[in-house]
Amino acid sequence: MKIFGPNSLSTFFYYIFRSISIVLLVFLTYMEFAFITDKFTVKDGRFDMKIPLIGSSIQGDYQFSDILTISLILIFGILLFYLLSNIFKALKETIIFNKGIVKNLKLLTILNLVIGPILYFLIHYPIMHKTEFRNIHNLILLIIFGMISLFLTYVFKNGYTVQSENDLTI
Amino acid sequence: MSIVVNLNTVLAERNLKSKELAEMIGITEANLSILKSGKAKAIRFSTLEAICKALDCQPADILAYKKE
Repeated sequence: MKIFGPNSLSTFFYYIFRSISIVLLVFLTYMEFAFITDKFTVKDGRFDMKIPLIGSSIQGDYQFSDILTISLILIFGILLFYLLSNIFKALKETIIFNKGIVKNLKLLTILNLVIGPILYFLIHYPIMHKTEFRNIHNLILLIIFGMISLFLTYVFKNGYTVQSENDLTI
Repeated sequence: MSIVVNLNTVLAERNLKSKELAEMIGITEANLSILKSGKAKAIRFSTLEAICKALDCQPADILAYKKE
């Protein structure tokens, strides 16, 4: 199977990641709508929200901090999968060294190296008021992904320059 | 760029149109336009050879160095 170009593995991943981002967006919208319109039950200080079609439910402490944390993580997830789908969209083009992939890799780097850690500390301390430093593996993973995408951005940037020169060689 | 492409002058001297030259040397009109406008980053020896053959000229007739 082809890795890049039309009808390739990149096309498959583009549809997968785009679908995930849409599902997460629908899920977030439903959740916010359910909270606004009181379509959930509260028992022993915990909320229980039924997810339609799946039959499952979301549960958590009925506190603003918990709801805000879930919402922020979902927004981060939507952005992450949307950017990943955009990267694979650029990879399914005939010429993979294009402006689109450089732009989206740059945004993915910013998301993982700047927004991700800020969100992590924001959720950990001001929102959830945690005293101990837990779940550090999430932060490490974000930084690793960010560093990889940073290097990939420069690889594709150089590739785009070479591609442009090649295109302008008559 | 300091390299100037004088293709228009040579074409005018020979009463040839860009379209005709593009057909003769086997490149697209768009690529020939890029070459004529000076937007091209490089020119292949094979393209230069084809142009020289078609216009019966020397590379220096087409390309010139101009101090900026």
